[in-house]
Amino acid sequence: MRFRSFLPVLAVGLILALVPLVTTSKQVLGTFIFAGIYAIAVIGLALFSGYAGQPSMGQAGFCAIGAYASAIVATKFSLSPWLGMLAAGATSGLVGWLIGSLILRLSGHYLAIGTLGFGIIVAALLKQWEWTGLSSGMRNVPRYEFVGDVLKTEAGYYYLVLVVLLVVIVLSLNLVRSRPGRALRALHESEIGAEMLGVDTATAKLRVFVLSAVLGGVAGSLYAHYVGSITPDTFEFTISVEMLVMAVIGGVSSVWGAAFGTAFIWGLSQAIKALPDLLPSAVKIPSITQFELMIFGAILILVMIFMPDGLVPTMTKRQRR
Amino acid sequence: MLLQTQNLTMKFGGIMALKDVTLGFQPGQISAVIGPNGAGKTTFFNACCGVYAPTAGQVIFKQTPLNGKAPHQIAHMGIARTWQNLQIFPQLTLIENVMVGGEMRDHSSGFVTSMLRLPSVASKENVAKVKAKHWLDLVGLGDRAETQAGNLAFGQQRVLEIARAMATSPQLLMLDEPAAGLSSNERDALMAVIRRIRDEGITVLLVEHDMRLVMQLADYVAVLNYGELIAKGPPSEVQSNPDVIKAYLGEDE
Amino acid sequence: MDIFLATLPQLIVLGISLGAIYALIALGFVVIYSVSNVINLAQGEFLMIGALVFVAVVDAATKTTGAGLAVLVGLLVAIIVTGGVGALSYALAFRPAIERRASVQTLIIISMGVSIVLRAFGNLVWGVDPTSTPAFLPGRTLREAGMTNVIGDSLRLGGVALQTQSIWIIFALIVTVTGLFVFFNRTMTGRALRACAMNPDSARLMGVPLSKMSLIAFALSAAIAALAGAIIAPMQPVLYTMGLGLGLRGFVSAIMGGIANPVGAIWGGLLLGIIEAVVGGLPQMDLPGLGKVNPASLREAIAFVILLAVLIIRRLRGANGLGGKRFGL
Repeated sequence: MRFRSFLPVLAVGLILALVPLVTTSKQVLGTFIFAGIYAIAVIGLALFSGYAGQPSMGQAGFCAIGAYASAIVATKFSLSPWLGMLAAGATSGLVGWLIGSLILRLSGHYLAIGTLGFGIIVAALLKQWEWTGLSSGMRNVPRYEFVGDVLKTEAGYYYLVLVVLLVVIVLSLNLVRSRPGRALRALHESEIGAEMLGVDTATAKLRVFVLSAVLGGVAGSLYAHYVGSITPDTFEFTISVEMLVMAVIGGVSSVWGAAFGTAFIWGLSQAIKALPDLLPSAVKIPSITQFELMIFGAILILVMIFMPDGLVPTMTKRQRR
Repeated sequence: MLLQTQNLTMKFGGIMALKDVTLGFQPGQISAVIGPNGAGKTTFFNACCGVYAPTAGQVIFKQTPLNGKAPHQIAHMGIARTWQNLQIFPQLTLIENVMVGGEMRDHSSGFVTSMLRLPSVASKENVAKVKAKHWLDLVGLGDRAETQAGNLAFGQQRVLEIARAMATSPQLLMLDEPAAGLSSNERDALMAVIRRIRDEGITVLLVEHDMRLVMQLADYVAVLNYGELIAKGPPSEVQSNPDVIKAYLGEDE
Repeated sequence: MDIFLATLPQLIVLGISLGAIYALIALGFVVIYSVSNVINLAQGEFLMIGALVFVAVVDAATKTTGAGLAVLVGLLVAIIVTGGVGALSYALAFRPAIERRASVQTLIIISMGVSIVLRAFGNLVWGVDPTSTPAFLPGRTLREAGMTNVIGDSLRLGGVALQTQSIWIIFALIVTVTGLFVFFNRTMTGRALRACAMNPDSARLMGVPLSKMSLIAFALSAAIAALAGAIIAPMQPVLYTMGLGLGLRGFVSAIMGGIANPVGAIWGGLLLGIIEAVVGGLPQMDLPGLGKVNPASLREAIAFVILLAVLIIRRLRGANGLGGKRFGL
């Protein structure tokens, strides 16, 4: 009955499934894999930020917890990396629940700052803990196993990330369109209005915060087992900001917006990286990463000024009129 | 008594917004709390339904004290309300607005079941939708069910709030200035809706500025002035009370 | 532990000079927040720009004017340039958003955007190698003047070593606070700014141009941050990344003091500085299950643990207080 609403997911899935047939370039597939991993974490962030209406600036903290939990299970305990992914989701979710119980009492910009503090504390603690390899982090994290070595190829891993991403999108869309999702959208617009209609807003916010933490953890696990090594700096504060930018640019209260925002930012950064080859050789850009960041910052400011709802909601609104 | 307040007192900083208000409201009636601007009517409402924690005194609903209960718990006990300054969800459609209220007592559609969209979730949702449509029809908004609530006219948003509150199947419906900003046609329609709600056995308590509406509708009236209760009783009796006349004449309203 | 206790006075002195810097940054937060209701996360980046400009000017000027004058010129240029950067950020990034009635969250995100741009700018212009300047008052000068208790750039007082630069930091804090006090109480502009902070609506009704006042507040905050940046330039590596950590600590200080309370911000800064210095001086500990933990490098997290604690305690008190509003309506 709801099949029609999942046609877009199917279409996007089919188109993306063609990519490894077109190219086997490790670089291209790797770019898509990273974008997909980011998108999972960003959708998690959008579910929370969009619905609770607060920018969380600590999503990378949950990715870090997931990545480390997964890596520890796979290397220190030599268990299956799949168990690692399970541990990643569970640990991030548990930490999310603990932290959320404390900081979700805050509102407005205090909550944003609280989540920011959380992310920074996680990175600082990981640097301090001998077990997690201090600043040098963890190495030799194995890939997941599935039908022999399938997931050790780029194409194989690409399909894994694609499947996880599509599942996450479908689950998120289901959530948004059903009772708890309606309650969340309602409390975003009027917390007291939703309360008086029997919505336990505190619990609802906590649950979606835990969910976003779990998705962050899963993304962290996918990252750790793809790259094979992680350090605390992999998940520093700026990554949280980057994720928030992705969520916000796409449209923070929209699952598709989050996916679109991730793709947009990712594409943009690739385009900027390719820029020096296009420019005449006389023009020299001293540091491409910094130049990239500068354009990021400028775009972020412009989007926030002119379309504070993000690209996707702004465009759909225009369409409707 | 369905709802009672005992020595209800509310202080904000040094300002006494409610002082020792002791009142009781009978089930099945339409009661009204009236008073000049700044008399503490809305504060009275907010203290009754858990938006404010009373400084002193208590609120008792169906023999149970409400002290320390959050608004959502109070909603579950059977109190629903609307808001003077409107708390609709503008980005949600009308039917979604009402469904949020209707789904209050549905405990089975949690996060996980909803994400998996189990068959039970879908069927529950259909039931909620049908119920929500019923309430929208009743207040005359049925044909705009799929419109975003933010696109409604002001008066229609007020009525939407009533439909939404009714969807929670309350025993007590509290209406905060339901007629404010309505045209006289809308006002008459509103009165019909309120009477109909009373006839279904639901107790109605309203705060209102519009004296004509109150006198036509209410079975029982309480008058607040500067946070204090100055009169209570049937409308005809209250109308002729010298204190009430003085309170109203003291201010151009 | 004995060693720790013996160094405690030293740590506290260190903490106060560190804290004075945080206090300066926090004051900047308070000024902007009070006037324009913006939480400006780019405050640390203002400091970074100020420090980099200062170092560049001092380097260039020392050859022609001599060290003493170079510091003065450097300070002046850094403050003016950074004040301009602050005003420009407001005019280009914040004002257009405020005019479109942006939410508090949107404004925070914009301030992150501004800090991303400024940080990248700092890197593109000044590169990735840290620079530094000599102390304003080098120990050598003092020794030549006949002071015997000077080792390196530090004075020895009792068992405590005090960097000469720390004296400048405290001095800068006192001058800034006095200056702000006079400005806010004795000048028309200052009074108008205070009016905006206390009641923006009636200030507007009385003809105070809110937008212009916000512009001034941004310029003023950036100037204070530049002063802080210049004054710590001799004490730590100056490069484009320095703003993030310092800015966040200044922000924590401001929150500790109650975000719109300048006196609170100063106390918050000093307290945070002392706590950080003392924790940093704790001996290495062997925690069961966690392995060896070196508190010195936990410093980074301390500020945020305090931040979370302060936020939560304040919130709990507010929520449980009798007769308070439970929901912001």
